[in-house]
Amino acid sequence: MVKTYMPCSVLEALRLKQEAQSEAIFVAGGTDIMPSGRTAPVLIYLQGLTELQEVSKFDGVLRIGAGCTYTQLIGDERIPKILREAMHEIAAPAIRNVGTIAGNICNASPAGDTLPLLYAMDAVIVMGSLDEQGQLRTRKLGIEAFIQGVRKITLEPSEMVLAVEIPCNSYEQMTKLQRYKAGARKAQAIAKLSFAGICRVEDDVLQDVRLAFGAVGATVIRSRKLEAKLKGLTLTELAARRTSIVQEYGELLRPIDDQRSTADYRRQVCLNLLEDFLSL
Amino acid sequence: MEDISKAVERKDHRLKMSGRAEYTCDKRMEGMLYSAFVRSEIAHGRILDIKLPVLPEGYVAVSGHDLYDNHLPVITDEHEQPIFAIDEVCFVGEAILMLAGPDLQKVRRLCRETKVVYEELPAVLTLDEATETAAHYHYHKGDAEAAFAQAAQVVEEVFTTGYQEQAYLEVQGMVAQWDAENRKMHVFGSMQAPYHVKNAVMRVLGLDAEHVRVVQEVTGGGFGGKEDYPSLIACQAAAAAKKAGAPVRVVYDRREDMTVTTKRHPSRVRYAAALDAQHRIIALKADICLDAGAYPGLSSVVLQRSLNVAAGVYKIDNLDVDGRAVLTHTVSNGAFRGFGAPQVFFAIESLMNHLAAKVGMTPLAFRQMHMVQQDNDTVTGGKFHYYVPLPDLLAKAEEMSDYSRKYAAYSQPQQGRYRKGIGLSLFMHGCGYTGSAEKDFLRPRVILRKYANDTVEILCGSVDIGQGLKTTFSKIAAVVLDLPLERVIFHNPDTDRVPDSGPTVASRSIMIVGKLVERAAKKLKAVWESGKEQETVADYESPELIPWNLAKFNGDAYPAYSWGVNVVELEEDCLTGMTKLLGVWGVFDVGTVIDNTVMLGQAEGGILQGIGYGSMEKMESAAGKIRQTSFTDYMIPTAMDTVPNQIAFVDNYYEYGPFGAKGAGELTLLGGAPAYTAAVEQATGKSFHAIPLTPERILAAQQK
Repeated sequence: MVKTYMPCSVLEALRLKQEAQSEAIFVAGGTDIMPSGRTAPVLIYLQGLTELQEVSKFDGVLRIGAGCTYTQLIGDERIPKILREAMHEIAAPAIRNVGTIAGNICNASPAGDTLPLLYAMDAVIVMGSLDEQGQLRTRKLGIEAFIQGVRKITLEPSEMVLAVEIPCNSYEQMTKLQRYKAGARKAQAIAKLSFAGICRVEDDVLQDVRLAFGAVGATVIRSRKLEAKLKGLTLTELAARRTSIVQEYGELLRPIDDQRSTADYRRQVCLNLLEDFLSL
Repeated sequence: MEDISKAVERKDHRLKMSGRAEYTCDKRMEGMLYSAFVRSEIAHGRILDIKLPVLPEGYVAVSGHDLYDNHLPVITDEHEQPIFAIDEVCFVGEAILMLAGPDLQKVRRLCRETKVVYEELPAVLTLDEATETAAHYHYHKGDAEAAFAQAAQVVEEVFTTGYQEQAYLEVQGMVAQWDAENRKMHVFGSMQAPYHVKNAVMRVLGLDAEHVRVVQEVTGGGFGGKEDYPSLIACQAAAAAKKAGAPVRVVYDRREDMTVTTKRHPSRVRYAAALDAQHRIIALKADICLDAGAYPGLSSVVLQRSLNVAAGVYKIDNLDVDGRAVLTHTVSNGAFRGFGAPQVFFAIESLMNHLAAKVGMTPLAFRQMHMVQQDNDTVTGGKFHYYVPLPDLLAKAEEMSDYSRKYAAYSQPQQGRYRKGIGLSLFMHGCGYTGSAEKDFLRPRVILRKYANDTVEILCGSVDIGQGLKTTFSKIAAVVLDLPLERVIFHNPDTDRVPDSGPTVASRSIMIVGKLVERAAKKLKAVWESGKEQETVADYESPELIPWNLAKFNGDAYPAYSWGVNVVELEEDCLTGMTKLLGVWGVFDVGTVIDNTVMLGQAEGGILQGIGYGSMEKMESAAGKIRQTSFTDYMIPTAMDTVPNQIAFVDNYYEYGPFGAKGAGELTLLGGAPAYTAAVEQATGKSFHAIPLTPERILAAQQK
């Protein structure tokens, strides 16, 4: 028999998880768990936790509660417009009404629709667990460290994700923000590949740039090394080096052939989008 | 009710919209057992041994040895499909055993625990490798060789098309119940052809007509996928019910359904066209090859329809047409809306565009030079006996879509990331069965039964599978009898109550069976006595036709044709190869429209299914196994992928159809793919020869 719980607070949820450990799984929206057929002896439903459904903006950090649904966030003007657009392209209304941002992150699919932007925006994952006194203890990890591989995340059996934090300067001061999802159709489609590009150009110099690619590797691909090479280039220098930069990114991508698309297509479209983005 | 075309509330509307409709998977019977299959994991091999786990009490295993006759009757006696593979398996997913028991999870586990030992045999996995032929036809007209010898220009092209999955919302399902006392088998399920199912169960179990009863349940879509396949699962369920002495339910899950049920035949069509100095096509050679899969099933008749449209809607005096359906060790292919015609319309319409470009004409002007007219011969020496309204359809399409102006504008060099294109397709569909099957084999019948309260029940074997047949048939009877629609009843067919009016396929229901409803209603009207129980019968009468000779592939293949024009306008993204539809137009001649809303549903659904076939519906077989087996991986277009369609109908009364109606269901699918690919060709400036024309294929051509 499966035991199901609907805790009323984060502390209660964590207590349940601490007791059951790996025997239990958290269910937020359930939109990935349900079709997968995955189950566990203990299911802990998180929909009742209003603490996890809050959005706040404080001290230059946008904090999004783990349990915020896509629909909620699409309607919240504090969320960067480009992230809202990405969420609007997820699945269809029924899924967006229950699917959550932390669910998208914890599912750790290389094709996760919010992931390239969250990588590009240096998102930080806030996790919670109970200390010896039964009080809430939190720790934070950058999304790149949090997601380790296909469906692999850094989360202890007694931990849960509480929030996602995005530094506001990673989007507010940017001069160009672009994203693209190549899905086989306009709704209910898993990305064949996705791209996010963010940059800040001042005085004809590329001051900051972040480039992330989804579904062309085990995790979203972002290279700080290549970004460092780009930073500080004048637009004229960038134009001269664009082809070689695109080539270097080409070597970084690890797309595969599968039932949804081909490696060649995934690579080519990523590079086309990159080249287009870098045409500043 | 006076105007037959005026839309009414559908007979099944409230039942379905309220969610009260019960489908096969909702059916519960006392003591009912659930089932699952042990299926072949390899494409071709010999079964050496089957190691069954110990079955708990109340669980049974059913194999081909449990049947009176282990062969599914389809069309020919050769290459018949076994109900269960006994010695040899011929495709991945072929049923070997069925296990049934009270707990579905346990039945599935027992299936997983069953080990089959094979000796693998060489497998033929593609149409190009195939050597064994399941069907072969050939015909010619005029003297193609002589015409090619004098040609000013000869153009050869090869086109290929992929699988298409019917993607009916309701998966295949059947429940069988054995009445041991009366030795009678009762079968309930999702189907297009109750009498096909009945005949199959009779043969396989060795029962006579009195002892098999088949009832159609509410059916959630068919698109041809429930023409012959339900017969197979009915036989499997019936065998299990008889052996277990309890009702047995078979309901596929989606992945199973997509892996093992019939699909649209992949094809390869080679054309050689001979043109004279005036740019007229003087001769055409066609070599059509369909991949039948492991068992031929309906492939021969599918192939016949492919051959009949080898020249599209064009008058070409010299023809040499050859067609084969070949066997491969892959899932069997079968009926799907359009039935062999969509493959060839993609090919011939694309060829017309390519030829037009070669001779420097617009696709429209080049087509107008070649269109058939009334009294022209058909490709098989039959005749287009009735008015061919292609000029009217084109005029209407032009008026609605502004095709020619846009075509000219988009032919100018385009710059930037997004490029536009507009494509046109012309097509026709022969209504009803190919050849003389109505007269020779089907001999459909309809009975109208009037009760003492003056309500009238339509008794026929045709089924409503979502296409609106309950509504349209009832309207025909109601209008003839001048009755309110609610006084005409149509229950889901039960073979113990209804005559055989033939399967619900081939765009024949309205034109053929609907005509019988109309005639039976007229008879009833003539003898109508209020308050009295009365019954009238109508049997099929064939119009005067040029006799069809299958061996010579000669004569009138169809009594009448429906006609259509599609225009698709789109924008292509050079960076991604992805497209966005900007406009979709459809103009059709289906004779008289029996219900405007029902017909609009057919038109919009058919066009989108055609565009899906031409663009995103990619299904591949790798090492004999279907790779896309879920709606996550097999993409059909959604409402988000299209734009509001603009649809028009041109009235063209057909004397042998009820109120002048002809076939309509399949026609609407035929033009979507070629109009879509033509638009992509214009936007990209590239020629394409394969569908689905995915962004992967578009971008690969563009990056060259």
